[in-house]
Amino acid sequence: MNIIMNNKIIENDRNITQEDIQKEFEAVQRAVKDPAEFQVLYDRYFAAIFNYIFRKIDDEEITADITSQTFWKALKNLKKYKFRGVPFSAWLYRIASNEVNRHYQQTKKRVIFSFDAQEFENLIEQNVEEEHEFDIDFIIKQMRQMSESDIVALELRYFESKNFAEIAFILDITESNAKMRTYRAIDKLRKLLERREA
Amino acid sequence: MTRFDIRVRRNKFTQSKIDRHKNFQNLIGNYDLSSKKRTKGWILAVGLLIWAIALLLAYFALDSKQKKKLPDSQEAVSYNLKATKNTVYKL
Repeated sequence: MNIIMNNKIIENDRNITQEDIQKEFEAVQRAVKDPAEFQVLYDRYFAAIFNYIFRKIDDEEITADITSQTFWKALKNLKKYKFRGVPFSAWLYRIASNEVNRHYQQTKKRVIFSFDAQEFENLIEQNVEEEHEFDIDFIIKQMRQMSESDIVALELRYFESKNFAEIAFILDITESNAKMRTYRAIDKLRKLLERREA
Repeated sequence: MTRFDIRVRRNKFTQSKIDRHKNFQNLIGNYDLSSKKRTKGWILAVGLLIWAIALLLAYFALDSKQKKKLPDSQEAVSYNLKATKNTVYKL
């Protein structure tokens, strides 16, 4: 396994410290030798991955299936995991995204984004000036005019609190591309919300 | 119409609701089962390969032995030609 430490990425991370990431990597190495050790990572990330998948599926039972499939694939391919300076969770999010995409390819259903009402409020609070007030139905109506990739970028940045390095890793794009995509998406959302003002 | 739909959830998913779906023992059990199946598969594949190689070697060994035992090939051909001419042999 390769270790590519990037201090800048780790400093930017709001939740996980460099020490945590190092400890987590050690836990991954232990799990490669003994799969029972994977439980530490499973317990730590199960709820986050479950919530992430649920946002895109909006069905509890299917979400549970895809979540267990995600962890199953992670455990099966743990030997192939390469440390790239992002938390282990980014790898799980990537597997989860692939599994969700596979689900939609198989079922040929319309993609769903199911967001918590509080999450919408946080997104607007962080990005739109205080004097503006929008109801959720209006925000959703405007967001429907955005592209799917824009919604995914907003979701990872504002609902999952991922930094750009993690977003880049999850979506398999460069960090600058992840930044550009996120800023472009938020800019587009602002413009769409301002339309009512005009 | 967009390719996706955006919905609002009014109720948050509680930790206890999520925990109902957690089952590490099942995951590790499946992993062990899969590892055993993989090992058995490998053993079976290697066994089949060895068996196939042994069969081929035996065939070639038998073939070369038979070739050594055969009489002169010219004689064998002339004998066969005679037989096709519908000759009646008196016993």
